[in-house]
Amino acid sequence: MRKTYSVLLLILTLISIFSISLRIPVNPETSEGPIRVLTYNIHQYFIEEIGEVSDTEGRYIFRELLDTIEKVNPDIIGLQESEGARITTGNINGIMWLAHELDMYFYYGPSTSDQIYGVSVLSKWPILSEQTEFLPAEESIERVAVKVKIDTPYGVFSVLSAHFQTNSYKLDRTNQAQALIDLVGGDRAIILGDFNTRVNDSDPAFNLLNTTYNSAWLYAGNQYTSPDGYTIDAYDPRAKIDYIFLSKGDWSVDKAFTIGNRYASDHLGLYAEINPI
Amino acid sequence: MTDKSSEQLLFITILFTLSIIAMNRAVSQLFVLNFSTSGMNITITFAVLLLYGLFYAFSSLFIKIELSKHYNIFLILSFISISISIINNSVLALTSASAFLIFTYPIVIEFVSKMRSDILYGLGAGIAVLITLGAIFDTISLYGTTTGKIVLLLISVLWLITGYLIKDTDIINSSTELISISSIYFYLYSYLLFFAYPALISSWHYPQSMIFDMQISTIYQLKYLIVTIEIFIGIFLGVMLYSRFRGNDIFFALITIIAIIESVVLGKLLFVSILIVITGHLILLGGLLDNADIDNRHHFSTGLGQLLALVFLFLYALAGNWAFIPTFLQSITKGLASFYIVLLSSLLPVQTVIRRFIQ
Repeated sequence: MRKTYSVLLLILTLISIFSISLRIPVNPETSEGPIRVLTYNIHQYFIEEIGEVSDTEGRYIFRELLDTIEKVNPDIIGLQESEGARITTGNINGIMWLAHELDMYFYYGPSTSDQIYGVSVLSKWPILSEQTEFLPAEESIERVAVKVKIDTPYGVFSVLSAHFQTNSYKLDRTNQAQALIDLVGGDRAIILGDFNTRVNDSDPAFNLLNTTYNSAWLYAGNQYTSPDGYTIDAYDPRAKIDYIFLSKGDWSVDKAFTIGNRYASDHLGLYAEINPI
Repeated sequence: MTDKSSEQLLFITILFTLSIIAMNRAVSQLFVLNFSTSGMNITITFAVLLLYGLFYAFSSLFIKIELSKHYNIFLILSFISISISIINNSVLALTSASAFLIFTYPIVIEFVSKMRSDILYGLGAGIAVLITLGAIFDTISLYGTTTGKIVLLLISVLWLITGYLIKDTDIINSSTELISISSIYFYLYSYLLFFAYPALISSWHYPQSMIFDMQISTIYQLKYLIVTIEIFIGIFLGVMLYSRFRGNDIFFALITIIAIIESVVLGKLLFVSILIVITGHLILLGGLLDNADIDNRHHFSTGLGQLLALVFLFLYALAGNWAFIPTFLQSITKGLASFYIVLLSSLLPVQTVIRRFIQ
């Protein structure tokens, strides 16, 4: 019994070490041209019932999510609701898996022990530094933004991924917008997120972000009123709460459009191709 | 062990592997069904009744199930259940995964009763298989991909075959009171819920900045690799050391103290101490298995223990999702995941001590 057990453990240990070691990333390939950017709320790798459609309920989205992202082959991705290391999600590390499948570098926050939604950044270029920032939350649960600096052929710049409070806590959300602006500082930056704020100038959070930064959606020649830019819910999009914001004077935008479907997440992703000025 | 010890080891290994896969499946679907935007529904009551043998704790008051008579039925039904659980329908997945746990519960209890601490070999190997599957599939669930589902079905077929091969052994042909030592059931699985997932443990804290000039994603990967190796060494050492020092009361007492202290600081020192934690707890588990009261017929205290275990497990699951649950539950769940794991892990030792004291 002891011998069988020892041999079995040894074999399984070697298989595990080999499998894990194979996936350490090595210099992902990038192409010439504009920087391809994506923001996507991935709903903790699950789909729940949407509207009257129940055929999606309780499904893992791994394959659909990967297929959706691979179609646009982004250089930089900001994900929200990306924490998967919990029993209800099957104790997975979905960001690590996704980064390996896409051959990208990654950073996520906060750590699993903090037990909140989680946000992350994936990048085809090396990450030079990283930071997780807890956003103000007086009345509601904590929200987080992560900030990384990446080293690209276009120079070093910052990428942020954030997830704000919902409409029920507008004061918190406004404070979170201000905290995010402080976190960006004067950096040349791409700010990706599910900001849970709809297009409405009277909403302080939206107004703060929309006046401080350029919206990639608008700078690509689209209108906020266009239903093509709506991101929730994926089954029947009726509102826009996911945005790509750009530090002013640093970027031009070639195009922007939504991607995804109800089998990949409850949100649609927002994709943009941008160029440094 | 009989001369079919290799088959038995394989059988128990697959039993633990499939059980924890089924448990994760049931809990995830329970979460999707009850804490999504559509709110709670009847499935939560259903799940509470079905999961973790509570069904038997009540039904055994009225029905005597004998494994020797019902083994083939349990084996076939458990195979069918785990196979159905791959279907992408939440209610069906929850029901079938829970059913697998129900149908295998008498088998677990019978094996634990008869094998005592020898079951550690199967438990250790079960953890090892789960870790290996995680490494091969890069941590994602077998239910998440077509390949994963095929692998799960293959393991299920292996379960059926090994189950058939050992059907004539002494263990299957005896009969144990189903509620006896059933608390150990929770202890075994609370174990697997945490220690079989190095991806979870390795992301418990931020990567440490002691490694310079290395990409953060590489450090995450390295952490995952190190934790994986630590757990493998831990399950090897735990089983071997227990086997070496079995019956030594002083050694057992010392390990109990160390294991409990390690559990208390679990949240803070997890990464650096995982090897010690898992080694210590396996030795502790071995001691509990060898000293458990298998003739126990304390229906009330056993049922209470099961209920508490279920509550702790439920709170542990909620603690990982406190952001999604009603406000009144947030204060007792936020940041308390490791606390509930400790409570869960401590339940059986505490229950054993209380029983001895009362007697």
